[in-house]
Amino acid sequence: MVSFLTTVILTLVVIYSLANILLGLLGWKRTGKGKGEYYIAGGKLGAFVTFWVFVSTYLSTYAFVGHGVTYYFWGCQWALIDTISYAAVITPLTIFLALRLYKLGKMHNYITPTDLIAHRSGEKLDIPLRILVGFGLIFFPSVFYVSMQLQAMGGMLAGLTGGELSYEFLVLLFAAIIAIYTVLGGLRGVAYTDILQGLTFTALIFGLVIVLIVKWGGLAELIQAAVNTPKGQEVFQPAPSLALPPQYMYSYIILANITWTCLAPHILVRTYSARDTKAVLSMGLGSGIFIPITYALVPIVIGAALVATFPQPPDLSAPEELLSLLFIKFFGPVLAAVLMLGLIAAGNTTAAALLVLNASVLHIDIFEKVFKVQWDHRKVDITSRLLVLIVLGIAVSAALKPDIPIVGIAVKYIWSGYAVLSIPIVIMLIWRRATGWGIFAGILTGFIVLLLNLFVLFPDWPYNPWGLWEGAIPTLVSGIVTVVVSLLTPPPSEEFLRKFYGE
Amino acid sequence: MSEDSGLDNSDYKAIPVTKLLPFEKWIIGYTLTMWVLLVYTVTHFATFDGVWIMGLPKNVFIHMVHGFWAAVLGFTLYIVYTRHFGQKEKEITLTR
Repeated sequence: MVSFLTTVILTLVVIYSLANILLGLLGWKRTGKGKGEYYIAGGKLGAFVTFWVFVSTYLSTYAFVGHGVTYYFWGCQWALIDTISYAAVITPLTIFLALRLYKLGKMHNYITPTDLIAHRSGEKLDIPLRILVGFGLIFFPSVFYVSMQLQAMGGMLAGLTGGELSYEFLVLLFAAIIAIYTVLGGLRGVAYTDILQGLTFTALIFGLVIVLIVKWGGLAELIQAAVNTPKGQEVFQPAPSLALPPQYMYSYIILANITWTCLAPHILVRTYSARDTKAVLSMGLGSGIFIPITYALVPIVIGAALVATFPQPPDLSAPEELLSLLFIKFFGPVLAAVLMLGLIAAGNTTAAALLVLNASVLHIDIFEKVFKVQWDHRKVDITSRLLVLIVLGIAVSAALKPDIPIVGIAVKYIWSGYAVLSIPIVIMLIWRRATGWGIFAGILTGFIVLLLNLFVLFPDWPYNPWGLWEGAIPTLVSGIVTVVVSLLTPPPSEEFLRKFYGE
Repeated sequence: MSEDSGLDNSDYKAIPVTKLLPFEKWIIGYTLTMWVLLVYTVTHFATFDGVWIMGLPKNVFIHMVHGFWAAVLGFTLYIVYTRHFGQKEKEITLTR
């Protein structure tokens, strides 16, 4: 017999999930035939939908859970470097890059991020690049990213129900729900659910922030209360063992965040699904206004509330459970369950977007381009949906081993992988002299250095001897090798470049 | 939901890929300035040294200022780009 709270949580999850499945059905009704329709909604999403798709995809469980918990365990400097990142890198560069990616995507009918890279690199390198980039640098880290969303959702709700609903059951439940609306509606289904998820997330996260501030009688009072605890001293003035070295901060801010302008693969393809420049600019608006405000306010308030409430860390099976304990303490179990919908919204959107991306990579980059498999429309439609399920299956199996905090996984595996990819993309966008061999060598070398650093040469954090961000050396190597090899190899023809850039 | 309106989406033609739009040199200038400022910020404000500003620890205050400044910049950029492409649309309509 389950408790009243568990019944309430299950009811809320079922109602919310039914709403998402209905929107997925709407997406299914409106989705035409073909892979372009399924994976990028035919490139027809307008400004309103694109804004919410972008914001929802961007705001993963990291924004809802990871950030506040990171602040508690690792100190508030993590919050500081994230907001500096917006002011110095992400906000000024987002529209600049997104517009250019949008143009190339529309002109050449790209569906996957690899389409762009392989096209610019030339026919000779098409297959090696699709294997390396599609499989190694997009598929592999993105599967971890999906599993990270499932981990956060499962971990939080398991904590909230006091273990009545097991972590494993919840991971499988959420995976099944995401599978239904993603398989049905493809990106269009995901886009419609993103509007609901984005609005839910926004209402709940800002509602939570306001309630916490009011409970302590003001933001300054809340932070004062946090600073006055022994844990607060550690969080606000990190001990040498917790303090990040300045070179770590600089390398993280500059190199890791170029990815988060709009070059993370699941965000890059949003530029393909945008209908017009207005839709692309709406992505810029989301990235410029909505997300910096979220990142400037939410982690500070939630982090300070965690510190003020738990001067000593309680026993936890996963660090993310800390937030569910906070919710229960301040809002009671039922309201805490409602707040959990914000987390589910954040996790659902990112996981669904990544599933569609990964299925497109397997389908187009691997089956079609590498193995030269050609299907008719019916087989394409069935295959696309089947691939979503296969990718989800892999992510679920990874999520069932939740022994690493989600942010640790993200920083170590995912962001470094995406960053290695981002630098050559920027170089090939703005530098006409970049050659296919330069791009290929840059990505390959960066990828090898990343794997060597993480798993062979420097097995302990930060995976290099100079205190730099863990992805810094691979990313720098990737950029330098791209430039050097490009200069040593014959330049692309002017005719090719004019066609590629649409001049 | 604003989709499937059948609009001509050839507006991408006005976007240069390897060249800068007229106002983008200012954005690059701003970005470089911010990188200088971030070096200063990280060096001086990453940890709290007992200084409070408007009821907030110094590093928290700086953190929030950065977030809101990024938001102001984001909105400004949106307006600038929208006006630029709105103007292009007007020119195209007049030519037609």
